Amino acid sequence: MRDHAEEAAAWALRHPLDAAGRAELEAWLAEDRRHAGALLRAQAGLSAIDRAVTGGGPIDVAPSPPPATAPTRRWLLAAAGGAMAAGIAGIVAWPYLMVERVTTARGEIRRLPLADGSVATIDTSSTLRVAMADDSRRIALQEGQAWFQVAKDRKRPFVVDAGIAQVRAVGTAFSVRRTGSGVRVAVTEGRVAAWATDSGGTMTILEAGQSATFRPGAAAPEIATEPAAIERSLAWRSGEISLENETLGSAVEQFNRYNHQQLVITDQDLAGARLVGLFQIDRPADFAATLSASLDVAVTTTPGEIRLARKKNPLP
Amino acid sequence: MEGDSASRLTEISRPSLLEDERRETTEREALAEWVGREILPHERDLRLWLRRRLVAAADVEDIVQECYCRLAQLDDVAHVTTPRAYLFTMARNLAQRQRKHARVVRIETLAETFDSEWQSDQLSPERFAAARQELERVQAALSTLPERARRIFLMRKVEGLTQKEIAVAMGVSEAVVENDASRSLRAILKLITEPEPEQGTQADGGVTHARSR
Repeated sequence: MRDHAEEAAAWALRHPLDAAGRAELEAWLAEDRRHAGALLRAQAGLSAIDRAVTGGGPIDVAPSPPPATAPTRRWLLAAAGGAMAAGIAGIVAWPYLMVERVTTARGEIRRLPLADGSVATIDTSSTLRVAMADDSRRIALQEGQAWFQVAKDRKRPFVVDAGIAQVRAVGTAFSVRRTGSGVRVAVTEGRVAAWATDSGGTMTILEAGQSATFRPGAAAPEIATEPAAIERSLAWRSGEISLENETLGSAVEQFNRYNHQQLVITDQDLAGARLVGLFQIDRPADFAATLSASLDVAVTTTPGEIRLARKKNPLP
Repeated sequence: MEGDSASRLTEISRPSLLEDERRETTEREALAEWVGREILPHERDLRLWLRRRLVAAADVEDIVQECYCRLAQLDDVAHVTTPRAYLFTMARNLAQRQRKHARVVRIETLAETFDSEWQSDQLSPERFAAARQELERVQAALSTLPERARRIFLMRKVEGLTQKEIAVAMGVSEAVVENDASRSLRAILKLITEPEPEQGTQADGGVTHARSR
């Protein structure tokens, strides 16, 4: 799909063009209307590079102060780029830090900047322990899930201990989810090494877009390459649930992890219905209302529960 | 919203006189420069924003490509006072149009999410900070390139050399310069615009395509 990009880059770089070259370029542009867009993008990139090349001087990145108030989700988006720049510029120098224990309540999603410049975004009902030392960065994920954006620091490996599995990274982004049935590691950026705690040292290298699921008692994890699914499964970072052909049963289970008001499916034949959509994690009532409109579901709401039943007389 | 300025624009006429051609080249360069400064820095956010909403990566790619196609048709960008908003509006319109034609009917909370997100997106101060960081981001990306590729860009810009002249100066073939520069340009575009590397497109190791001359 991005085949144009390669040709476009070549054209953007071919400069100046003589008459023959111009004619050739015109012909290429006429071939596919998307070529003009691809060319413009390549030229734009080149001009950005030109500016960066001549913008000269050492890279001067001021470390952004940690936000004083609760961070917004905007901040979260900006963080990846900032962390990268800071990491490469190598100006991050932080004092020695101690152990910290963090717990999120049901429905709470917290973004926790760490002393080394890394960021842990912590999912609902999770507990982790952070231990920063001069030579290592250690996180113990005791329960739940977190997504880590790791600041680059080759001298201090960043290790997440999730009980039956361990993950090690240098500068990258990945999530770890720990449940009773196992541990799932998903990489969104860069690469990490993951291994079963009692595997005797056999590591698996995971690249961005890959996940590994460790089951209790199994020596090797199940590996999958699923960038889109990973991105979806991390929609919680922005307080959302992204459903792509998932069953109502699984959607309900997800909502219930975040809310006190529980969704209950009373007609089990509803549980298999497939859904597509994006919802606010903390608004199960909106989700139920949508269902009632599109799936012929009857909704009964009490303070503690939202019951989903099949409508008795569905409209034709 | 559908009839925004991007879709109203007509195709650029092709002037035949040399003078017109020169003027057009300058205009094209100015547009590319503007896009590089005002649009490209937001592409990464746009992709994230779309990806969170549309899910399918292929759709995001199509929409981003289409945005640049439309920008390429602009004769004049003076009317674009807030480029970021312009880009996002264009993308949103494309996304909504695409959703209308999609086979799977997405459940309709999406439109609202788009709108509320859209409004909250406008005023956030972090946005400005992100734009300022762009130069640093490109510089950081440049620093990941091999030395030879960096020198090519430097010679191009600072000394104004053509690829042929650079090749002579470096004592390598023109094809080497072309390959290096093209691969590096794409690597940098990817670094500054992709929220995360995508499986499969990651290995840019060898340029397999040979452009016919």
